[in-house]
Amino acid sequence: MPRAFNAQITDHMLDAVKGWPRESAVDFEAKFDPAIVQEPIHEGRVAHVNAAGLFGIGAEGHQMPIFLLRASDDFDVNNDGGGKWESAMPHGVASGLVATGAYELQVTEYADGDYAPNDLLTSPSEATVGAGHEAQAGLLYNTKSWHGGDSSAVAAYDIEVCGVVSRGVRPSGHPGISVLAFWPVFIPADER
Amino acid sequence: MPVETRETTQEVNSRVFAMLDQGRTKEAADVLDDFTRTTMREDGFFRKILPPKQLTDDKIDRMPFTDLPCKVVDKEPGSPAAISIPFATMPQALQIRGPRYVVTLQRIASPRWAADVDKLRTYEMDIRQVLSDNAIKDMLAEEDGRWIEATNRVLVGADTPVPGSGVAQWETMNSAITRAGILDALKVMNRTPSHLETTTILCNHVTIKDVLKWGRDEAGGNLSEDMLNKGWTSTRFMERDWIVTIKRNLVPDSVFMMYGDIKFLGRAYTLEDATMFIKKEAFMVDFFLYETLGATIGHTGAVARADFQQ
Repeated sequence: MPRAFNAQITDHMLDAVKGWPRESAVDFEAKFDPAIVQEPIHEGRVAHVNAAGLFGIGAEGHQMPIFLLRASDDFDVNNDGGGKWESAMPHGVASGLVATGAYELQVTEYADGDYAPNDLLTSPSEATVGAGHEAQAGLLYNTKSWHGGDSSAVAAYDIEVCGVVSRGVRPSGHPGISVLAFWPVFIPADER
Repeated sequence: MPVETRETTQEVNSRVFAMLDQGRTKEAADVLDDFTRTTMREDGFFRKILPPKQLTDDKIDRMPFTDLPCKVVDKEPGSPAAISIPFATMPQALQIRGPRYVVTLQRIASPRWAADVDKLRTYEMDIRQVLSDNAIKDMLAEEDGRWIEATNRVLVGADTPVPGSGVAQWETMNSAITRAGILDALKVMNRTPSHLETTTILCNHVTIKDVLKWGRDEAGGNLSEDMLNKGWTSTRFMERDWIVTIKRNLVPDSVFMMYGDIKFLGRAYTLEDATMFIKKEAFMVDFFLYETLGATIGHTGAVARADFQQ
C-alpha cells in the first residue's frame, strides 16, 4: 500500500545515535514475510529473519533482533501500483541493523510506559500479542504489557532480550515525537 | 567494445596502477566508470528494452511523506469512444483526467571485492575488466532479474486474465516456433483493449535456434541460407527488435517475452549511473560498483508472453 499522503517522515524513525554508518556496522536486507498482518511495517520496528530468509516481526526465543531501517511502504522498498503499474525497482527488499552491532539506537517504536536506564527490552511477535492486536508486535517493551501479557518486568533468560535502555525516552527534536534510546543486545531466552 | 591490442591493454593497466600507486583512486575509478557503463549498456537486456534516462536534480519529484527521490510520469489519457448522435444534440461532457504512475528509485550495489594490488599486476588482460567483470555481471543480473520478475508479475500467470486488460497476456501457444506460430504470438498484445503492437521480442539463445531452423519455405531463400551460414545476426527481424540473451534462468527456452513501444511501456531512470567506488589501503584495493536506478512498467497492456511448444 502507498503511504498516506499526510504521513510525515518523522512519524516513525530509527536513528543510530552512535556507531552507524560505519564499515564495521552490521546491517541485513530481506523481504518481509507476506504473512505479517500489520501494514505498513514501520521503520524502527524489531524484526528477525525467519526460516524462509524473510523478515518476521518481533524477536523471540533465540531469534537475532534486527531493527528496521526501512519501512514496508518506503519508496526504496515498495512501489505498489495496485495492478495499474508495476515497479521493477524497487522490489520489496528492506534493511535493518542487527542487534550484535556496536551502536546506540533510538526509535519511535516503543510501547507507552516509563523507561529507566538499564531496563531490559523485548519485542513480541504478532502471534504473541494475538489477532486484532498485531500493531503491538515489533514494538519495544520493558514490561510484558502487550495484549495477553502479565505486565511483569522483562527479565534476562525469561524471554528474549533485544536491548538495554541507555538514555530512556527523550524528545526527538521533531514536535510531539519522542524516541526511546537504547543499546541493542542479544540475550536469548533460556530454552533448556 | 573496441578491440585492444596487447600494447594498449598494457598501457591501460599501467595507467590504472599508476593512479592507484599515487593514491589517485578517484581518477582510477573514473577510468573504470567509462568502461563499466559501456559494458552494462551493451550486455544487459533490461537497458535495451527500456533504456534509462538520466534523472537530474531539477527533475526529481518530491512527496510530503518521504525524502526519497521519485519521478511522477503522465500516462496517456484514455477516453470513451465517439458516438453517433442526431442533429441538434450536444456531445456528452467529460473532463480530461490523465492517470499517472510513479517511478521510485533503488540503489543496486555489487558485492564489495578486495584484492592485493600486486596480485592484480600479474594479469595480462585489461585490468579494468579484471576489476569490474564480476561486479558488472552481478549488477546486470540484478537489473535483468528484477525486470523479468516485474514482467511476470504483470502477466499474473499462463493463460490467466490480467486484471487491467481482462484478457490473458501470457499465452501457451499450440505450435512450435514456426513462422505462423510467431505471428500468432504477436497477436497476444493486439488482443488487449489497448491494441498495442509488439515492438521488442526477448528470447534466449536456445530458443533462437528454432528460428534458425527455418527453411526456404518459411524464411525465404536468401535469409534461410544466411541463417544457416552465419547464425543469428539480426537485431531487426519481422519489423521488430530482437534481443537474444544467454540468461536461460530468466528467460526460459521456447519463450518470447514481448514488449510494446517505449512510449507506452514505462520509464526507467538513473539518478546515478554505474559508479565504481575504489579505495586503496597499503597494498589492498577494495572496490564495489553501485548505481541508483528506478523502472516502472507504466502500461500493463504493453507486455505479453508466449510459451511455445518445444
